[in-house]
Amino acid sequence: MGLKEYTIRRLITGMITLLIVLIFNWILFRLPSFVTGVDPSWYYVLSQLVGGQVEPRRFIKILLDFKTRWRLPGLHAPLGLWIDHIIAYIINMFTFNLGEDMFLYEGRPIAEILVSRIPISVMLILPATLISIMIGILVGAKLGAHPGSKLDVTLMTVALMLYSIPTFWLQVLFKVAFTVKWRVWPATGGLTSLEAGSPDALISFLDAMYMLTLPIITLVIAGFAGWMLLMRNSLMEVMGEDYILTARAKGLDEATVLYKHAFRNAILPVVTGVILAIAGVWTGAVITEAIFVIPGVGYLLFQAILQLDYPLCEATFYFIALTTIIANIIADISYALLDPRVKY
Amino acid sequence: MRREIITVMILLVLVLPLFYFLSSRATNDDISGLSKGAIYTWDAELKVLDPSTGTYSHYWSARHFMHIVESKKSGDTLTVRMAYSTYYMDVVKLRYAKSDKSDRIANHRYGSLKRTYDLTTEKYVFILEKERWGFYIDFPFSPFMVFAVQERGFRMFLEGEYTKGYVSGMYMDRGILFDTWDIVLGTRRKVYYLEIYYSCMDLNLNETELGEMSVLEVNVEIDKELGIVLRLRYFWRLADKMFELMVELSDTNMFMKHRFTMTIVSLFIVLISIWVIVRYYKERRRRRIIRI
Repeated sequence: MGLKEYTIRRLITGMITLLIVLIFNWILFRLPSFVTGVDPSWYYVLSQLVGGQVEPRRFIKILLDFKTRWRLPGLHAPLGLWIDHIIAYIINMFTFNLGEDMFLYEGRPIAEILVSRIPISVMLILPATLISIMIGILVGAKLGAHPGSKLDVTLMTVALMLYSIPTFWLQVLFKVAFTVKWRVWPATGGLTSLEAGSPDALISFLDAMYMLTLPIITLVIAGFAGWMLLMRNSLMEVMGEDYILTARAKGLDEATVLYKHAFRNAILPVVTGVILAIAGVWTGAVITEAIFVIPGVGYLLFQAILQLDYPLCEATFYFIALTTIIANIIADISYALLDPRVKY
Repeated sequence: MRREIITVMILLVLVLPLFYFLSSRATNDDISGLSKGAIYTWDAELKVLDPSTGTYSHYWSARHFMHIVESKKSGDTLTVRMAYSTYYMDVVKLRYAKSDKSDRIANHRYGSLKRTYDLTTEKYVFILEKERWGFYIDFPFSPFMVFAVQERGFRMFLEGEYTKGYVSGMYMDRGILFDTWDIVLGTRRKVYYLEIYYSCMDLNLNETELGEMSVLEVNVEIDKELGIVLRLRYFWRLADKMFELMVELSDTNMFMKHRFTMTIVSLFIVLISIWVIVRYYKERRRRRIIRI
């Protein structure tokens, strides 16, 4: 099978995976209704009206509004209506017709809300991921070339310590230290101008980047260790291969052996991880964005979960799944392109 | 032996799809559901959800029966003679509220009656008998009612009569109407499906423990050909508990049952038969080639 056929097959399997994810996503948000026997619309609407008696008129209005906007059939609706609903749901998701939000951002199209949040998430996660990968690969290559050296032992201890620290704990610690104790950064704000659309784009961009520096630093500290360990182990494995021995026997200098022969082969497993990490750029980091109050995709999901805004959660889950599947396909194809030994 | 199997398979291929084309007994009259000799049986169940424990308890099951003995239309008058009964079975509880001093319902009720309808004033819905299942609530639907679905403007009537109306004194939308289909008794039926919400106080006849904020949810499926209630569900709050009453058509002589199921089964048999036949001929050709 050639690369072209492999790509087509991978795209088809990707579509099937997406379809399965869509159905799973559909079931997930209706499962509470199927389990409890409470109508999905009642479930959603009641969750919004918790805590007080609601007038029948208002209750009926909200319920019908929800039903007509979301075309969500009742739990006891006929089979035909449910089948229509599933087909419409799949078509809508494939065409990004994610509907209008009902609660958190009432009346706003969900696709529009998501699109407005993506740049902020990208501004946070992309630099953090790229810096982590660069530091991780460079340091990992250095350590992998000289395993057991003093530098290797020291950096490995530090890296393992950083790797085992929970990211959210590190972030809370940094936030307390730099925003409350030393007041280098303000606790919140800065990004609001970006979200609201400031008249001066450059100023609001710089303002946002300044606010994002602290979360980026924490993400790099917590993230580079993983890349470093991966690169180090991969390089150590490659350094033991016969062709490295051959290269050394030919009389090549150590730098050529390391960077021309070993490094290229050792980086292959890292590439898959890098592409998958890039997928995370779009979807944001839920905990980081929640701790630093960054209005990205992750924070949107966090807010939607807190507010029990199921339609918004459903759309965000779908967006995350879609980007992950696309990244997986790209990773597989690029792996096949990079390594000619890979059999399809 | 193989030849016999193939013969049977071919016969099945030819015969089974006929299930799909078998038509119902209903005529294309104005009110097919009221055809003479029509028999309907519905199974009902009352379940009660206690929100404090989150568990459902079964109160009773019931069987409703309706037989159209005679149906005569002369000019603008429709005369219907029918026999009906409601039998309560598997009874656990017949007192719905703590304040109840006696059982709400007797074990069974039955009767036969003759009703005359003036078609100039009552042309869309014929309420043959009211059924309240022991509640003092004026339920908008019951199994003993038949709709004139073929009547011109019936859909508009459904929308106007049920999906719009007064809720606590205010005229507003209170439901949605869908044209869809469902599998009833194993047969695909075209239905009108309504999801309607009433303020319980608007339907209260003398139910003392009915909360002012209580909302009655009604899910009802009406057969587009017969005009009878196929499925009915009420869900409301009474005496701090959520009552759920489900009614479902369980038997009738007005349409062929299990047509959809049989079509699906026959489709599978057809596919398997085609596969067996193709295999048989492929094998025969292979044997011929080997012989050569």
